[in-house]
Amino acid sequence: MDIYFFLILLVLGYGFGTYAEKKHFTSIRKREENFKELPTIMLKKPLHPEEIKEYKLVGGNVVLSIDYFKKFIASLVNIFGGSISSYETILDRARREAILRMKEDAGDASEIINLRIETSSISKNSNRSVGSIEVYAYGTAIYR
Amino acid sequence: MKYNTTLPDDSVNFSSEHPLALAFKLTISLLLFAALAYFLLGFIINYAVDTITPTQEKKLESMLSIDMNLTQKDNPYLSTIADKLSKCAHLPYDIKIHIIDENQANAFAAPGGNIYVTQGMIKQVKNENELAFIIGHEFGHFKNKDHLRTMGYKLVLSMFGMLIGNDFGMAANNILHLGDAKYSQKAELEADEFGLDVMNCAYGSVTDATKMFERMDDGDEWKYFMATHPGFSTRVSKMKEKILNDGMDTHKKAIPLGNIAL
Repeated sequence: MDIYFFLILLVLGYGFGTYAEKKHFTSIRKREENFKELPTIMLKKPLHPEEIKEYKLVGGNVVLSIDYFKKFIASLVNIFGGSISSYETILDRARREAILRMKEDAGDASEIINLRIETSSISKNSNRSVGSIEVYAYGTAIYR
Repeated sequence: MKYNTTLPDDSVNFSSEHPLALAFKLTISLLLFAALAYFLLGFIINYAVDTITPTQEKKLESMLSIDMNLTQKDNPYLSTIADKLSKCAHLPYDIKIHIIDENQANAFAAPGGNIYVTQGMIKQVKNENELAFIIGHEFGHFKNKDHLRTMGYKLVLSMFGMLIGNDFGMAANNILHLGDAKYSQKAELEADEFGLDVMNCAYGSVTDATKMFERMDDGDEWKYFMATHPGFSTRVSKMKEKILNDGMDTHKKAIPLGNIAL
């Protein structure tokens, strides 16, 4: 009985997970295109401080859950070693989504400096849960 | 100085291998690894089981205190049947038969010459001959040391479960169990044969030996594909084949049931 339950979860995880990931990547690429004229850099100090009218802290936060299929691949890689490619895509999605939300938060800023990314974990140490990742991107928006 | 507006390169941060291809590759590797480990550990288990002495087994018995709802320890009536059969079986154990508080009909052999019979089984039994065959069948497990082998394999399976962890371990266990079931079904048929031999020697007939299985047979053989026991109709036909080949007597009147005192 267990094996059928497991296979159903695996198929559901793969089906919905792949669909959601594809949709998400399409949305990320489109929004990145929209924001590509907004300079987002890691410099601690603005390039022309004398021209700044206003500045503020902006941030974007995202929580994504992994699916059963991704977890299945990860648990197999745990035995043999290697890169967990199923987690690489979800981490990439989470970081890019967090940066995009931060940019959306910045409104008509002329640039965002001192970009930082933090990862926290809600589902740490819970073996039975499917698991999720949490990414927070923040920086200083400069208005000229 | 100009800000470069190129978009992030998608291809560098994650591999382009299709997730299904990766899953397939990993699953096959795991199955191969598991099969190899299972066979190697199987050899070790068989070696250990073949060389273990009854004294060592006695120690093992005290180490593994089986926690069960016993309604009766060492039932005297069942012991008299075991004594009759023991004269023919020549097992290196002092057989003790216990009754478990459980409605499903079942019986099994445990280390140190302990046989556990469920109350559900006792209730289904119609005469002493049927009971004698059940006990004889468990004697067969002792003779072939199946009780130790099963324990060893269960230990290995639970180790795999721990290695892989959680749900995936359970699924891997299910697959390995398929191989285990085939071995186990063979062991059950061998135990049936031994049970018939012992019964024939102790009682001078095998009257009603197959009756119990015939009553339990619901005609559904498919569900036994993955089970530890073969289907009842398979068992009955194999037993009848042996009875015929060895010319065992099936006409001597069956002995009525004694006082089990549940």
